Amino acid sequence: MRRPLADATFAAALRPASWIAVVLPGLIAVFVGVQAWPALRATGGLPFVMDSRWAPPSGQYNLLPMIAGTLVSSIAALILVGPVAVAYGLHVNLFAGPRLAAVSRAGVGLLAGVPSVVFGLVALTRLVPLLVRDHPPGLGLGVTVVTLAAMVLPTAASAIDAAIQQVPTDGIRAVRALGLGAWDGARGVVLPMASRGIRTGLVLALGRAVGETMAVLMVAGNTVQYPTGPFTAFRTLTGNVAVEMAYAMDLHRSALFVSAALLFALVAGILALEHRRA
Amino acid sequence: MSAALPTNPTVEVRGVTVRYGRHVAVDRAEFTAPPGVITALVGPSGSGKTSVLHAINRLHELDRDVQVEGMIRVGSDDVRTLDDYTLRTRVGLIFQRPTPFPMSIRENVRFPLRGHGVARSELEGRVQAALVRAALWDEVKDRLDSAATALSGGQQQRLCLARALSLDPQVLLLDEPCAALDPQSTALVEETLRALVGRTTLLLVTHNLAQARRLATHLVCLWPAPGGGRVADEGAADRVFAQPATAELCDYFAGLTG
Amino acid sequence: MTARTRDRFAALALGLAPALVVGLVAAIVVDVAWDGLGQIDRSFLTESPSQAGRSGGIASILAATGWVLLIGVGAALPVGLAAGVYLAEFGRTGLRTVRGALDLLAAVPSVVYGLFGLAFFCETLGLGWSVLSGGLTVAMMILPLFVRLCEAGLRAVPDDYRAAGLALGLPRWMLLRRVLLPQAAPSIAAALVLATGRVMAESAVFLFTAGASTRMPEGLLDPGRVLAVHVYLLAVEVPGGSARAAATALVLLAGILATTGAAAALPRLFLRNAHA
Repeated sequence: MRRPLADATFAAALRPASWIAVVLPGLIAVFVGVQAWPALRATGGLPFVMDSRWAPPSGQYNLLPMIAGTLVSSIAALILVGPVAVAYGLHVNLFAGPRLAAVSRAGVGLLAGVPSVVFGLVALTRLVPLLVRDHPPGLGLGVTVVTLAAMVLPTAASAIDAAIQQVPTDGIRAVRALGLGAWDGARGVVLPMASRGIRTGLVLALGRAVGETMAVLMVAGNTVQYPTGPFTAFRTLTGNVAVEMAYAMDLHRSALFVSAALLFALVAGILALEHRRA
Repeated sequence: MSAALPTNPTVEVRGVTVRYGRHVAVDRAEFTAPPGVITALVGPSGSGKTSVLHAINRLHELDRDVQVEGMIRVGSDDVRTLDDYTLRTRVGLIFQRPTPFPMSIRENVRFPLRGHGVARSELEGRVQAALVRAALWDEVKDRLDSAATALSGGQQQRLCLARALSLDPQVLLLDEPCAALDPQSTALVEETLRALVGRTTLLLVTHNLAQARRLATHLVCLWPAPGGGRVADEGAADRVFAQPATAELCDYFAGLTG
Repeated sequence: MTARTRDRFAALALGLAPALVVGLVAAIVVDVAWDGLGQIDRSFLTESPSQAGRSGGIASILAATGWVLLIGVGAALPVGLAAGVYLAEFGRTGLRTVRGALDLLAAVPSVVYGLFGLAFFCETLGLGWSVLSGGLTVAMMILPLFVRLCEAGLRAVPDDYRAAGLALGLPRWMLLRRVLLPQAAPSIAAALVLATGRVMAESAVFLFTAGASTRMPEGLLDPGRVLAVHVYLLAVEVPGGSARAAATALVLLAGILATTGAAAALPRLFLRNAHA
């Protein structure tokens, strides 16, 4: 009584949906590429790292300050987030009782839901005024790194939590059966065995930090220069695009598309690196 | 940690009930493991052998929702009055499946020693002594820095024995230690256990009645029941094997059930 | 130092991390509420902004947000559900390509989506800055999430149901409609709700595709300013706008909190009514 024809027709009706999914990344690549092409052709590509500065109306396209801004702020945020996320994962799995663990996990879930602009708003109205007196205007690398860290912490924390949960409990029981403690178990068994998952979590967080736009836009200070100190105002690749897109024309616009493509290549590269190692 | 005082305590289990939530695994178990000899804890699946064993070094406290009633004494001490970390250095436990730590063989044995503050100068000696006692030294002495996870199952289990023995426990609990091992490894483990008689009180949970016959001086038989596993018989191994107290035990020993 | 002492120290030191997380959430909510709660009243929710948002309310903002939500989820749902069903029930060849494509979509940063939406929907397709452009762009962003959750929801349904269906000679589509999809409904509902939360949190995308107009959008092709964009503009471009920004942020947070809570509670709700 099987009706293979009906099944096959149904499957055929569903397949286009999957095709849409496959087509979309290509569509994005094509359109971004098409828009980026004029600037690439006009400059040949090298000026994006070799020009003296970023000033598209004058034909200068050096993106390095923005690339540096993205990398420095994201990596610094990751350095802050890493130990906290690992500590969170260990505490919630090895030290906290069931109720405490539930509260902690709920906290991470809620923090993950806070939108970028709200982080930016709170940083702008609370953190920046604290610094304005001694280090005007208060915007810059320091505030940006702290804000980014708070934003990507949930990403790292929940990934590391999952990685630690996956470690079989046999090893920890064996450690405890020797009269040792949960901390010994964490050092000797859990951390080594969860290390791959921890690395993945941190890479995911880095990818998120690199792609962040709004909060960074609100507190980084919007100046095209290398971020050399905690109070240096700077720009990220994302911020650069967001700020200038409104009034950019022709080659300038095209150059912004180039930086967007570069940004995506950066994120894809970071994620691919992790995939290959796993 | 006194390496020189094997005090061979008696292990007394008095009216011990173990509950997992609402399920009763062991109902008012009562038995004594005499000092310095091997007591085997036998019985079919579901009779609560492992639950009772884990209660002796309070390992059940690592899980949620487990309740233990009754009294357990090691020597003259009620286990609940002792610091649980210290208790577990006096009462060691070997699990059914080998649990090598993700480190080198040497580091595996050093881990508990360092964790309990043994001086660096003493470490090498005690590591070697422990591996010798576990009948593993000769096989691994040339590759102490290689990964413990690369050892065979039998070697890993002997490594776990070495780890436990490095702390010189007065009591050693073993939860079906040879269940996952081949006959040669089983023989080596049994040889190690026999060598511990007189220095340590051993409690061996086993499914393998032949093993119990080979090793045990004293025998405790648990039998599953709807209200939780109960002690069906206890006594000198020879006597219990020859004249078990219940008909079910008779059948069990004859190989007809369990 | 004994093992017990080490554990005591570790519990305290490591415990600072979850404390920090909870503290951050509390600080953010309290902060935003402190500045913004006083601004919220009936008129705030029913009037549109005036004076660049310093006064008036957020009625048109809420409407614009509603529009992009409807369009975004409305576009993503059929495609996501169909793809999820296909991957879970029929997929044999090309599965890895589809999954790879979805992973790629999920990795694209929001600015890039914003630019793509601008170039493709607004300019090439001629939709201009509109809630339609915004909705369609954000639909692409939430598609991977949708597909993943729908597929997972279907895979979680035990195979017994499928075996029984086959034994009865039911065609696949009927099996899905009568048995599998209802069983997977809690997961699919949770997916919908989570996707809603994600759409609400986006801002860069909408800045580029839906525009920043505070006029009440009345049709698909009208531009509109969504909640997150309003927060940004008030905070950064409007002097004295931070109180209103906080109020808007509070509404935004409340909405997202509602979706997070609903997504968590839905499975339990369904289960209670399931086996009647």
